[in-house]
Amino acid sequence: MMEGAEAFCIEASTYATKAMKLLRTYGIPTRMKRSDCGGGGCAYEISVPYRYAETADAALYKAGIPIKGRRSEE
Amino acid sequence: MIYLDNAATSFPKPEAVARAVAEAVTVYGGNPGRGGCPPSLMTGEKVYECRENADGFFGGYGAEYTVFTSNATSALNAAIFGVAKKKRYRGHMIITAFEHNSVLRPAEELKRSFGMEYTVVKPSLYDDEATVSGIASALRKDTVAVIMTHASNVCGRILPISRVGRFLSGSDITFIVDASQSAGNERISMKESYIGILCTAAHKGLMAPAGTGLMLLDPEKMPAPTVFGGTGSNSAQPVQPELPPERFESGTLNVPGILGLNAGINVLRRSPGSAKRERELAARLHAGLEQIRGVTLYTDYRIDKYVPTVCFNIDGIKSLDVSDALAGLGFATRGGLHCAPLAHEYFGTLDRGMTRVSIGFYNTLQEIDGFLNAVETVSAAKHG
Repeated sequence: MMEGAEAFCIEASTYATKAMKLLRTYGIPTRMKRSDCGGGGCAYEISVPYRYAETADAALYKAGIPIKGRRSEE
Repeated sequence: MIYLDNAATSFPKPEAVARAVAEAVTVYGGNPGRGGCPPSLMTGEKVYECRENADGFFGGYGAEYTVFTSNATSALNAAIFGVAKKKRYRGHMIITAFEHNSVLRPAEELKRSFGMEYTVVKPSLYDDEATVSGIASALRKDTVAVIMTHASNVCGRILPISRVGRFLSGSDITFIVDASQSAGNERISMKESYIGILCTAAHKGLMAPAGTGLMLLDPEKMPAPTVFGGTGSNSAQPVQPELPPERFESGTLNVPGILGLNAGINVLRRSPGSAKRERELAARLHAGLEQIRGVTLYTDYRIDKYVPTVCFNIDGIKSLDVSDALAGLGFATRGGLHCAPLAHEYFGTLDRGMTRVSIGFYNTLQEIDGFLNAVETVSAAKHG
């Protein structure tokens, strides 16, 4: 996880890839990795630098991408 | 061998498809949607690219509603059994007399196992409104699905799916379309034609390798899943995930096939005149066959009403023997019933089948003229 980043948990590969591509169109750097998202079973986390967190959240919501959760690291 | 059996599978495949398949086994070797390692993530992105491409090509509802299957049969089984399951195996279905066994056999199985009745509607070769009226007349209060091929794999006739879709729109009935013979040759838009579930082979007109198919979904008409297993998501749960496409994609995907499909669609996008050219060849073929003594044709070929498939018989020779003789002269065709017994019943050829010629992306005028000479040779041997 990047320092000062926000991670969005997305259930499966297709939506996670869709999210990553979407955020890149906003110019937001992303990193995708596997995660259990706090115990819910296998999923993906898309991490963005913290300063983009709210923009990313809004973009994902607008695109209808289901988010299982988000977490941040200072 | 001149290949004229593209309705079975297209051959040869474009160079770009071959390169994509090779890349899949040498570069994109990870299992998409499984690990978090770079090969898996990279391969996942390539697979997603194909979903987007296919979704755009068919005017669908988004990459996440584009499901990969192993062929059209598995797509149609998923759709038909999935709709039936959602309706608790109650209700009635409508199919047409041009359907492939991949529609007829699921319908018959649902009838035998669950008592779900189905009605077979005979399309009109000459009047699309009559086809629509036939389907409308067959509707019952308990009709849950209408399943319709976009084009017959026997005679090539294109059916009026947009008109039927528009007629059914707003109802609770799921409109399932089998685009195996039309995909890549006739423009299809799921949204414009109100298609609930679009199923197709990817290895025919879309020129992907064998082992690929597509099921595109309208979010309002999603079937229940009928195959259960590993999806690489929500693994702690013993139930199938809720979200498509993974909900309908248990097991490892055919990555070489999918990357090949992506390349095939791109070839078609770069070749906007190919469908017209193929149909013009079919028109020339049909006109030439009309002139050969002993040949029986079953349709009038019109470029705007048929995909490039023509069927015929030579009087006094079984269709399988005709195809065999033509193969001996260097032309690959298909005789017999083409896994479509209802269509042969429609044409009165259930006892002998027909010889089917299906033109593809790489066929030429010279090949068609050569084929006509070969048919003349086979017929002359019988009729002088």
